[in-house]
Amino acid sequence: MSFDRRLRQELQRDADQIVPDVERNLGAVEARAHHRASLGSPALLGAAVVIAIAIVWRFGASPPTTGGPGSSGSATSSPSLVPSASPSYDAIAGTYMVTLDTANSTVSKYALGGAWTMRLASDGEIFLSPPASFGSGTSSLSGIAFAIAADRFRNNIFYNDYCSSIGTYTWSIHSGRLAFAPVEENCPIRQALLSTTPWRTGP
Amino acid sequence: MTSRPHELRAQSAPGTFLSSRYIVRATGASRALIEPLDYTAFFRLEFAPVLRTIELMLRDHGRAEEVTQDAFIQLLLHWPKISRYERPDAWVRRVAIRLALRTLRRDRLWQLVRGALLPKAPDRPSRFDVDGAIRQLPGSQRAAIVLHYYEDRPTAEVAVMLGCSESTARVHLFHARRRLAQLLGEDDRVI
Repeated sequence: MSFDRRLRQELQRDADQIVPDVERNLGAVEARAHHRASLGSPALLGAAVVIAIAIVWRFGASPPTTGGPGSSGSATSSPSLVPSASPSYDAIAGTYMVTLDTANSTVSKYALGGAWTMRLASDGEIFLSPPASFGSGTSSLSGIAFAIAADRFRNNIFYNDYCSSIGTYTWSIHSGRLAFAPVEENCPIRQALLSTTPWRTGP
Repeated sequence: MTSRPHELRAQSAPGTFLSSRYIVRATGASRALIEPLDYTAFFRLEFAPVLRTIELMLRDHGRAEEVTQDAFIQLLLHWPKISRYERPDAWVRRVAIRLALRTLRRDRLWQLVRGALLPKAPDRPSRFDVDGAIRQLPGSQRAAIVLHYYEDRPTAEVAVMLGCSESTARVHLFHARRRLAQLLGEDDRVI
């Protein structure tokens, strides 16, 4: 039997053993959708509270935040709305933007030029939006994550696509700008994206 | 081989044909009454095939159900708009596959991050069946294998489902197939 035929047969056999309870799943989907829809208004209220807190925090006296030991508490002076997140994750969580200039040879080499937006979520997920000019079929990149330990920022941006390993950086926030410096990185395109220019805080 | 899973159609009642988009009721020799498909009928038609694909990717029934439900929740929340698409079944399948890929990539990252903190287990030779071998693949390669060998999709359709170029889909398939052949002790030159 050919290898391809074996693959087809075994996948089909595995699939035949999956007998979903469609009605139970339908009930679960409707209940979860209803629950999500009913949370709509409180969620908007919560978002308004977050924005208000962010404005107060932004225009209040705030010392620079870095990931270094003893300094991560500065950005957590605002009440956390994500209780499960650690203080360091809250300190870096937010939306950041950078515009990479194609005049830079590294940026140009990897076609990274343009405006990038990166949202770092408190649960460790990264949502990365590249400029339209970047690659093909990459209007948005998802399924990316980061982990923080003290001043180290580890991430899997471009993993499986352009990189074969994860990268480790130091991170710091000064005057609303998030800067990364490579510590352990063997993927030049990711390094060019993260550390060519500091990321400015987004809306 | 049986019909392709993404082309499954159901005969719901005499004189009624349930497609992925419409209920078509025969009303005469040459006329048919075409009604927009309601969400519940669509769910009953499409949930099972999408779940099978996702479970073949994730190899975990509970998580596959959760991911597939998430995709159908997004569909329900946008049903008035999506139901007017040419292929709402393709839309929900793409969403489910991308959610599954996100799950797999997150798992892989945590394994890498935590792996750096734990002592490395000694390498030992392993014997894999197809299930075990597919678990060794990265998410994009798993998806490509399932879409190509189970759903019988050509690489152009695999690319659309994965949101990548056709050449990238072909590379995913090539690497996945070669890796599976290594793990299963097969000769990957035979096609």
